[in-house]
Amino acid sequence: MTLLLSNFAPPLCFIALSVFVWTDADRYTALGSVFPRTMAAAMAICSVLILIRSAAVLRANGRTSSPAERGGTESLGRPLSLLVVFGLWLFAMNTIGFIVSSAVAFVALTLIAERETFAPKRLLLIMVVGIGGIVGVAALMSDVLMVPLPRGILF
Amino acid sequence: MEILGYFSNALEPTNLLLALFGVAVGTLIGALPGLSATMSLAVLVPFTFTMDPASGLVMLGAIYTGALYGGAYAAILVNTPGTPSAIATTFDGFPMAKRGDGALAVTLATLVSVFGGLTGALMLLLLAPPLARVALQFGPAEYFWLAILGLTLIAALSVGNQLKGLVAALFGLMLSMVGVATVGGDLRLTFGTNALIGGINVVAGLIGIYCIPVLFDLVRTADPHLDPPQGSHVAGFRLREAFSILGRNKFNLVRSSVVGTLIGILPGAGGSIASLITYSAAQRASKDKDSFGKGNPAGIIATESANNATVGGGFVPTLVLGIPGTPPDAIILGALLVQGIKIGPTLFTEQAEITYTFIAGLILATLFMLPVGLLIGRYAYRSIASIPKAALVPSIAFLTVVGSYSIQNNWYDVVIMLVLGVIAWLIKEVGYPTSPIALGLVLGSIAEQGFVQTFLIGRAQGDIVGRFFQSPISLFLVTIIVMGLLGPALRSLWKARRRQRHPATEAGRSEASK
Repeated sequence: MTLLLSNFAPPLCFIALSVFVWTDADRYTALGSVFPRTMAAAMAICSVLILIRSAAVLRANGRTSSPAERGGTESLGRPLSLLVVFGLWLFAMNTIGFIVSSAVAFVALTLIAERETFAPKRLLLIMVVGIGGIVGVAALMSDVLMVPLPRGILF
Repeated sequence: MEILGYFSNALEPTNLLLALFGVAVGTLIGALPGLSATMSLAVLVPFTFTMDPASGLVMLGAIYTGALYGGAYAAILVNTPGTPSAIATTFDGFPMAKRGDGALAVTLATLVSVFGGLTGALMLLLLAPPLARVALQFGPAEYFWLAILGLTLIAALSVGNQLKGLVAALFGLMLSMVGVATVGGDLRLTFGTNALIGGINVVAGLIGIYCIPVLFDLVRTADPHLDPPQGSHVAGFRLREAFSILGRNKFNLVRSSVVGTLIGILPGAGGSIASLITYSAAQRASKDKDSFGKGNPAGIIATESANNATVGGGFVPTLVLGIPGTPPDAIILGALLVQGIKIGPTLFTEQAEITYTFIAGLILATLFMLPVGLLIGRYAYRSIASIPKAALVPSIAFLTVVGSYSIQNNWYDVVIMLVLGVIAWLIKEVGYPTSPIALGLVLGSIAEQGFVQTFLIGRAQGDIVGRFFQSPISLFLVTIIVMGLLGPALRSLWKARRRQRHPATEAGRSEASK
């Protein structure tokens, strides 16, 4: 099932995307639609060719190799946690402020990425240096490069 | 002789210091994904208004050339191109760093960047007016084919996955269509949200496409990010080894530098196309094609010499025609205009002093890249390799957020960066290459503008298809595109037939090659 999914789902998604772009181009002027339509058609053709090739390989070999399978069976827990932290960070950036949200996210990401034996001193050092760096970069951005960072209710 | 006099202006202590400062700042900025040469130039331009014109321009040129070179660091050490020009450097740079040759890769990148930069600057110095005429030969159809050439080359480089590479490139082109249309002004693929009206920012997109999958991979496995082997033979600059490799790749180096300069002359084309074309040429010319993408130093030699050569090339149309090829060129052009310098073919005669001092400053800045780059490179690889993942992951994540936010001070850019990063990771997981997506995003507007303008001219002339294939340059580019797409398939077909006809000879050959 995973093999079928990884070989056939992406080209089907790309075909769906090209159909969407083609139909969305109905709303555009002739000038605005000519390029999207040409590219959508090219994408659909290439995706169909990929489907045909995948089917042929599947028929010939009985099974196809899945890149996910080739890559091993590492857990997706950490990447998903990272994604959640990233999402919350972006949400919190505007509400509680750039520096505070970044500091909290830094700590959370440090814990997610930590693979070695739990060493409180080492982690504390990373966090202190990291948070110092965040404050430094934020000062550089807002005071030197004049990039106003989101302030939120804190800072 | 007169030119040598102008060179002595550039050698004044103030100019030397400014060039050194510019290269160091530019290199550090270029090494950080999201902080671009354009941004640093834009911030520092006002400071140059109070300076002597030549000094100000020397500093701006130095920042630009340093930033373009700095992009190689992130490409080699973190697998993330610091600038779009360094996309192709990731192909062999990161595998080299991964296997413990990061210091060698950085040294090679430094040496060839200096060579490429000098080639571009010297061609600007000696051949600017005639080279500018080459740029004028490129019309909309030629630009369209040039962009398509870049995309097909990167797709063709996706060994065994050419079709997937093409689909990924087309996906990148579709991403570039989001927002207001380049020609026609339609609002496209915005899903009714104002956040997408401005389109997908190229730099934010690149950060997402390259950095987010790197972060996911870092937290997913327990393997170290880089694994430098211990021992004296891999420590230090590894200059002798680098020169030995350069000696074996001298033709590749010269070809890539000259081609990089010539592509740099074409406004808009820039380092990303130059580095891909030269990378592809290096791979085709190599006897060991299969090692490309797995850490072949020839790949870095081709891409880094070419993208630095585009600096000098890019100044040809900027100075002679007043047509800036890239955003940094446009900022420097603005600085020139503010200083009261009149752009045009007479620039090299009527305002020779400032022009030649600027070019001399560019050459000096390129030479300064050698000590600055080697010094930074020596410690960068060891530092990145020694940083634990627990510190590396949050640091890269923070830089991605700051980098994508600071481009336009826009929170939506950060969201778009994250979304594109997740899409790129998923696409990578199912076996599609992500570099064509990035290049599609970079080249999309050039491709569309060329396509639509050619379509319009062709329609007015009553021969749309003919217009696309009318000029010799277009036909030449189309021939390379077709060869690039069909070449690998035809080569394997030819090999298979040969094997069928002479099985014994082919078996002997494959044994010998092992």
